[in-house]
Amino acid sequence: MTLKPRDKSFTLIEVLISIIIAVIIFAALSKGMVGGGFLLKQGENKSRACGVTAAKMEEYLAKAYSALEPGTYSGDPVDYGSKPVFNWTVNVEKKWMGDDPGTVDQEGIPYNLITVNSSYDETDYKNIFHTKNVRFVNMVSYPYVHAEIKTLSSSVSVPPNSYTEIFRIKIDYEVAKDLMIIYNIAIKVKNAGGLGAANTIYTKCFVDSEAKDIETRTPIITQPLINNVVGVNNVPPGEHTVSVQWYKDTSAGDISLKEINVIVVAFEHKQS
Amino acid sequence: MKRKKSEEAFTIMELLLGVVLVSAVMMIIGLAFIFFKKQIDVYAERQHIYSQIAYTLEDMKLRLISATWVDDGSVFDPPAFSGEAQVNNEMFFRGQKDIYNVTPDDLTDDVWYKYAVEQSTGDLVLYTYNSGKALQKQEVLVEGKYKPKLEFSYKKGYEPNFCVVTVTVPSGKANFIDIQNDIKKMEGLRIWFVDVVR
Repeated sequence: MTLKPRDKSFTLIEVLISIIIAVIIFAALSKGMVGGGFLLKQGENKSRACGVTAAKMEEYLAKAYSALEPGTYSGDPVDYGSKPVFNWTVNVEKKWMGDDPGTVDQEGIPYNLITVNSSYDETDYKNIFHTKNVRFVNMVSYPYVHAEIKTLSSSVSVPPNSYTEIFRIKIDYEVAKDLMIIYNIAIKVKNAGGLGAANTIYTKCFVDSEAKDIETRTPIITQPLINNVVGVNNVPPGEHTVSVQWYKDTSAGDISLKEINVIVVAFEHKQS
Repeated sequence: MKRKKSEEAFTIMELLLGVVLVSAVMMIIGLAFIFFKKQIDVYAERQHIYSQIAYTLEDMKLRLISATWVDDGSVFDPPAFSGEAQVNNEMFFRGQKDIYNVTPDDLTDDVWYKYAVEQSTGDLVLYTYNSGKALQKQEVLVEGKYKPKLEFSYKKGYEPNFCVVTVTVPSGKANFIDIQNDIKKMEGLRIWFVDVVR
């Protein structure tokens, strides 16, 4: 029987070449799988680092503007129980909107820029060592509204004839503010001797010793409570003193304070 | 009859060698198949776990931010002076029925939620209760076959309305390739209207 050429079986050489080709293909696939494993590992490391970074960022975003002191913070590395461990640093930097710190524009709004950086060590598929970083940036801006509330219980007497300070509050804002100052005063008539029906207690609010409208005029005998609301626009940034002062228009009688309650609400000043 | 060289059959040596080579090739192919399949299974399982954890953490972040009360069993004590973290394994709180319609001024539309690991199945579950704390439904967030662990932690330095949640899923198969033995992700959780410390 004569076999046609297409009926011949594989020769040894053909089989060997086939094996070599198959080995090359499997080697390439194995390399691909190992590379895939490294990619997966790198992806998981990055995912963990993002988790650490996001959690730290959230921790700092939960803080009030005033609680964020500029500086760099770090702590114990986050250890998930398997390598790598994640080192973290948080940098809080004070900035002004639209300006660099060297050219501060007081019309801008200050904010705290929070930068969280997580770093971890990793080797690639060539066994080369790398330090990888994940960085998140966010900010906490200066509050639009501030409120101060203070109360004083005292038995200080109302002086006659000229304004005298009862109580003061220090305020210090980083931007110009429009203030709403509210105060409530309760008085006690210790001695009504010589007081007439028309005798009056006058009260006024002062900002940095400058008297502000509106003055209250309260008949002593009939009204033991005094209250007032004063608006003060465009108070410049920096430290200021808000004080409440009073006097009575007679030297007769003895009237004293029971309690004073002062509320200062400060809104960000709007340019008209 | 004398045959041409090309017409001769395999010799016994050629046949044996062929059998050995074919067996070796089949074995290599078989082992490679098993190896590749295991690799793919590990990758697929880990990706599946990652997607379930990511969904869980996203759900917690969305639901907890508008919570209006945290149950006594889930709140933390004021932070220890030593700074040591306190850990709870569940979070039971009252929140918005519709988490995209936040109405803290109206508690009548609130329901109770609990994130916890169900002891019988091992599932990490979101339980939903009505305002009277009667169980209404439960949604599996991470399947029990992955053996998820849940930890809410609070420590000194955190704001009172902030805690950290960590979801851990052990992955024994990960030993097969050089990746972490467990899958662990953390997230910071902030609440607007109540504190997690009492």
